[in-house]
Amino acid sequence: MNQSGSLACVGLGMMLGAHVSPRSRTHIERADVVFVLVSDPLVELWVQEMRPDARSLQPYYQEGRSRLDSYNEMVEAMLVEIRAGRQVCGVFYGHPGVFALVPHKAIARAREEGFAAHMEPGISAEDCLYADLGIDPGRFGCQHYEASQLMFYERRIDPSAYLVLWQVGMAGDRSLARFSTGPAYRQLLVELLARDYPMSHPVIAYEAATLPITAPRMDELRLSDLATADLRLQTTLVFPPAAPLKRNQRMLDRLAILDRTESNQTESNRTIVDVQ
Amino acid sequence: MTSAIGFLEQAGRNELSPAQYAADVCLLEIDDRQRQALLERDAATLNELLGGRRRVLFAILAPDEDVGQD
Repeated sequence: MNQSGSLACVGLGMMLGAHVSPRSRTHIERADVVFVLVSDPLVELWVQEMRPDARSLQPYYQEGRSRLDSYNEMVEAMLVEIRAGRQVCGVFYGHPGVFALVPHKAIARAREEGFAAHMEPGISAEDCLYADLGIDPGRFGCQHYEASQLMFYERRIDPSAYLVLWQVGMAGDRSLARFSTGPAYRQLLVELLARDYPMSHPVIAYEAATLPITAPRMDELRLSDLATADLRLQTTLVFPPAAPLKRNQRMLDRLAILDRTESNQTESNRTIVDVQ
Repeated sequence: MTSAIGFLEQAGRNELSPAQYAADVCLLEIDDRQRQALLERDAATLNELLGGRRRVLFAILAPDEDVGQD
């Protein structure tokens, strides 16, 4: 690296005071310039107590304007300070690299321009979800999709694994200019999901707690309820498996043959060693 | 402690029993309305009293950078 400016994108975790890592905190305290984008106004005030000069990225959002424009401006705002030779810290809620375009883009752009840039992980909503709902993603496998992306593209859902859908509150928004969509949009999502799940299938509407004085939302709904349910920007939907795991007998048979071959090979090697 | 936000940070670090929480809130040197909001765990009122934003937006992922361009 041949330039003096730098960027650290750090995660605060989800809950005020509970999740921030020592390294992230040090970056916040020592940076020349701090930008902040968080999901709770009290969390923003917390960051501003740590750094009264922290610059909120909130003003870049505008209803009716493409979020992509806002994202590009957020990235550019950070780059301007980096190019001026400053140590910049981008503070984001949760994990700055999970379902987050802006930190990834900012780091990529900074590196392209020859600046040092890195990410400090944080505790994401996904991490909180596993803890609060008692789900182990390794038990049956776990698929994660951004809800609109699931609608825009041909994807294959595996109903024998968990399914987690993010940003469901604005599912189906093609404009990128809204922060919520209505029941008609969600009904299309329900119809899509009904190809793999019965309408009576349980679905958990989850929202991680962002303050130590609030509790996570963990409302059990049915797939048929989703079109009219209260789904917000921060709501995540969790679908438990709808089908049992199906054994892949062909692969298991091939593995058994491989096991036998390797076992026989080991035995013959041992015999050769014994003879020698 | 003189800051409701500082108290929230402490409460985030160390989970308090309901009794300890109430006792600690009563000891804070803060405005009575802030104290009441903390006792009632009323985040919206506390935010209003502290001058926080009324609304925050935080989506930072685009499902498709080309969508809507057609």
